[in-house]
Amino acid sequence: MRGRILSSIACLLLLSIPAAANAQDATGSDLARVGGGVLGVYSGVVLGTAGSLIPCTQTLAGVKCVRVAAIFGGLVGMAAGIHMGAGDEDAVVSTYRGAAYGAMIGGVVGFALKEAIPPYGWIDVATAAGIGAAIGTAPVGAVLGFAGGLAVGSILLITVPSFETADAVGMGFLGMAVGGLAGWVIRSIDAHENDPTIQIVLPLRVGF
Amino acid sequence: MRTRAFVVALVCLAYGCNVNHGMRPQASSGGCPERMSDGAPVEWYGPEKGSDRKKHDEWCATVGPIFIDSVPRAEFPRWDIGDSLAVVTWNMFVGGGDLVEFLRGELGLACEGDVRLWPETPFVLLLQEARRASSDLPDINNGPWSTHIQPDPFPGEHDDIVDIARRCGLAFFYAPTQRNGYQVEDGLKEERGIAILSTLQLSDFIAIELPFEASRKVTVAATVRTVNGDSLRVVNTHLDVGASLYRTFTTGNSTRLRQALGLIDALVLIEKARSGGDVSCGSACDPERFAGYPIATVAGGDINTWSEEETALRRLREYFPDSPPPGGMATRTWFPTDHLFFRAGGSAELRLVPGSYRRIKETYCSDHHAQIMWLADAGPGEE
Repeated sequence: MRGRILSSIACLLLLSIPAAANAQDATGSDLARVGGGVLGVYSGVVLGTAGSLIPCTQTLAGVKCVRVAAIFGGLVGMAAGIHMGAGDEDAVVSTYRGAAYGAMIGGVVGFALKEAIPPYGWIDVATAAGIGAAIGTAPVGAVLGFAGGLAVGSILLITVPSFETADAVGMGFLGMAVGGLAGWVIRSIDAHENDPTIQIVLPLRVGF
Repeated sequence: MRTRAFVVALVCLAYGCNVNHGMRPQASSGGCPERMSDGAPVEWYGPEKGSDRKKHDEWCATVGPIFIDSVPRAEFPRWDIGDSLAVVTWNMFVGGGDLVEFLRGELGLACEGDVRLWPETPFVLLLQEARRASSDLPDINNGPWSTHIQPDPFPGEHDDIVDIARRCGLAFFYAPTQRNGYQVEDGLKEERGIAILSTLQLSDFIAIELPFEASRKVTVAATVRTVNGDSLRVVNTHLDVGASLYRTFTTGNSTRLRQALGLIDALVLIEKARSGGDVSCGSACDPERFAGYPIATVAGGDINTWSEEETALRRLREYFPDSPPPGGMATRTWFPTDHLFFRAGGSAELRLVPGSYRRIKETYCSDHHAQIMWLADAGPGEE
């Protein structure tokens, strides 16, 4: 048990280490675009799904609503990832590093769940690691979003009679998804913010 | 464009494969004592999906038989004109709930001790997590079992459901669902099950194995005769509280929705079969297109819902359009898990007594509150 706690703390410390490269000096590449897009799709789909599981199952649409949220998250993540890769290769590498740390933390949490809940198996440990990886790509946004969502949900739970416990918890996870996706978008914009030149593209057809 | 199509296909594929809830009639199966019951005939329904059926077979092999006693004690009241029928659902916490005291305190039936009391009006009691203990249960070997639930000591005797029902002279239909741990105490093994107890005669016994999620869940149904001799189907169900993280994530948290839709599918199939319709439609059965409503049906159980607006609950209310509005009361900790539903139909002119749907305040040592409502005959002059 002590070992698990220490490894969790170690992972958290690793997360706080800044990326080695300075994003302002880096440039994008085709490989970074593809890499960013793939990780963005993965992270967006997982965040969209995780964030919509509870809110959507309070509606008649149910799993259809979850699908829409997952697809929306995937599209946002893909666009942000490609944009990030086009602007800053190192930002993509850093995001992959965050995913790896997130997977480790998720795996530890999943293992703890497996030990505590008898029907849980290794596939659930892998699922927790997968969710952790998605959160790890945008940890600050996801954590802030979760906290904000839960806070708003708690206030609504107290003030609005028809607002139920499930709604308040769902707000937390929805906040996590929104915060995580916002983190992706912000990082993709940041990746272009310090470009050395302003590029203006004029669509001009030249012919004889 | 290709990437977008790939994403759409991936997501739809991931969820689509895991949420099939189609049902079909099931044949009796060897190796499963429950389905081979020698008592009154029981009609079985279960999931179409092969992997679900395989899991049900594995779990079913570790439990004992169904118990049925269709005829109640003669002293019990008939359902006469002017009477109402009490319908109650209660999760009794694997025998932790004090059923004897519950019958005395809430339904006016004192069937033990020196003073005997008979209820003034008929009732149907839908019990989930009923406990049965016996030395005759099959050995688990490598079979599945659920975590042993051992309620705290409670004031009543820790008797099993079949013993209590027999001592009280109630008609009953008990179907085990899963083993309550692998332990053997004093030579007794334990199982959990689902039961319908009534002061009215029961007939037309049906057992429905729900789409498999986390553990084996069985819904039972039987029929009672109304004041005018018409039929009222009574359905008792218990949905899973949750699935594994993997299933929750890959099915879009549709654990209870899938089981609720499976239950609705099975009920549609049952009514179609009884009205001479086609039962081969399986998952293609559309409840909305099947508007025959050949029989009035009352259903209840532990739906394990987190909120009163959960998709599974909304779907059930759609199928049971005459259900009472949600009571707004938590029945387990702060969650509204237990519900009753009603659908008028057939020749029975039944109606829900307005304002009668409520939570029973006392828990009788269970971890759930019971829910009760009353049905009355809507004869001439009634609304």
